Amino acid sequence: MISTELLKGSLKTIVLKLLKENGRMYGYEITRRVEELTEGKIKLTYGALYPVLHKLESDGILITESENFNNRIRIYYSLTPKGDSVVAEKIEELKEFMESLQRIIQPETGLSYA
Amino acid sequence: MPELSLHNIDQISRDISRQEITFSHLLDDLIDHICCDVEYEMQSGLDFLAAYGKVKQKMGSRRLKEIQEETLYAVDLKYRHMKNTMKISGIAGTVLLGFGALFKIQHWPLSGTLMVLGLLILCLVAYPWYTWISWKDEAHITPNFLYLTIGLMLILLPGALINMNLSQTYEEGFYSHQEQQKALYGYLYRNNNSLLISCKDSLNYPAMEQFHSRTAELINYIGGIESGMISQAEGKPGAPVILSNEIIQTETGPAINYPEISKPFQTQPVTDFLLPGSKTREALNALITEYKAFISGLMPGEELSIVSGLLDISLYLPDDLTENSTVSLMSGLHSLELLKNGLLTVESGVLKVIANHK
Repeated sequence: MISTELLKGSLKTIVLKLLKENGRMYGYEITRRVEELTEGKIKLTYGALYPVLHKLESDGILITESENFNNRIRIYYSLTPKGDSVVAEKIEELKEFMESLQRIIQPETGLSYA
Repeated sequence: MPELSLHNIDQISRDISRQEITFSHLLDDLIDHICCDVEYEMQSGLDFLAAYGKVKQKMGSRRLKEIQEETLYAVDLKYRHMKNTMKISGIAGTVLLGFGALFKIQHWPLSGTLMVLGLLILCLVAYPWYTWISWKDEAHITPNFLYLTIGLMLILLPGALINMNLSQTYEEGFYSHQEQQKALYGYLYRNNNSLLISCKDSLNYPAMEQFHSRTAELINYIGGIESGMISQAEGKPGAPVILSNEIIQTETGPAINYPEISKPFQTQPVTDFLLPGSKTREALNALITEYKAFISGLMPGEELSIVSGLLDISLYLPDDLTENSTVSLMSGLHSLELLKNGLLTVESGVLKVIANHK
């Protein structure tokens, strides 16, 4: 299980990437998908997910539609055109971050002095 | 996947609504999410109540409210600013008030300023912000809010009451005492004058007139001390003082307009003008001794002892400096008014004696 501390900075990107691939999704669906893709290693809690979704919505990156589903209202989130352009940028940033982390955590063997 | 019945969804909605989730569509988000969670748990064969219980346990009871807080905090910049302002002003006000109290206990300077500043920040910044934020969030009165309100009242009310009481005592006590002395002064002054006028044709008139002007001189000197003290209290260093409002001219001579005195509790003027050791006090003592000596030439011993009792200056003003002896301007002025009336009373007695000289 990956701690929420580690997850915090990259959560936005994860949500955006999923929405980019799947069009529109609702909150629970996002958490399920993340769990499936990471084989249960990343579990998004309500407390982590909804502040991020609402923040993205208020920034104009996401848009919501509400639908009646099985006697309750379900809110679907999808990317706005503005959001579309942000996704690639965010993913690039995260990749760079992961590569940099990689370099710190696993130095290339050839350069190791050990 | 098993589907929840209308009744089940209703129960979940009611539970969540009770936590006052009001922000945007967060309530719908959470209801749907929790329903999905419950449905997921029911897949493994649990009934609704067991599955719902499990989900609730995972969630924690206060958790939803916190999610709303976090969402508001993330989304609303104004909310963030407001919360920060409230926190900072609350801490600043409390710290200032605390330090003010400490300074007061230690008798260090500036304690009053610190306390007033702290209270002002608490009452005019932190408390209104807190009220606004909590009403925005909760829409009902929370124990926290009540606690804060009552706490603030407990600080403010006694202060306000003491202040009101003080100003009332001041208005009713001090001013009226001064007015009584003024009225008495006016009566004695006119009385002596009419006595003098009625004896105009008497042989003793020149002696009476001479004594009258001596008394007037002494009273004038005291008037000078009074205006000196008021000038010192009212004036700023280096700037000349014009006492146009504080001292007014009346038919019985200059009179002090007490409510116009803006710094009645200053103690420096009395220390400088009236307490033993000051120049004017020495001069006043000398003048009164002289005055007594003058009277003793005019009156027989028996009557002299009656009037000279009124001329004992220690009746009016402190005779020795005990530790921490400070007297406020208002008290000093009151003492001088009493002394003036004492002098007029003596004058009246002495004038009568002179008038009856054969």
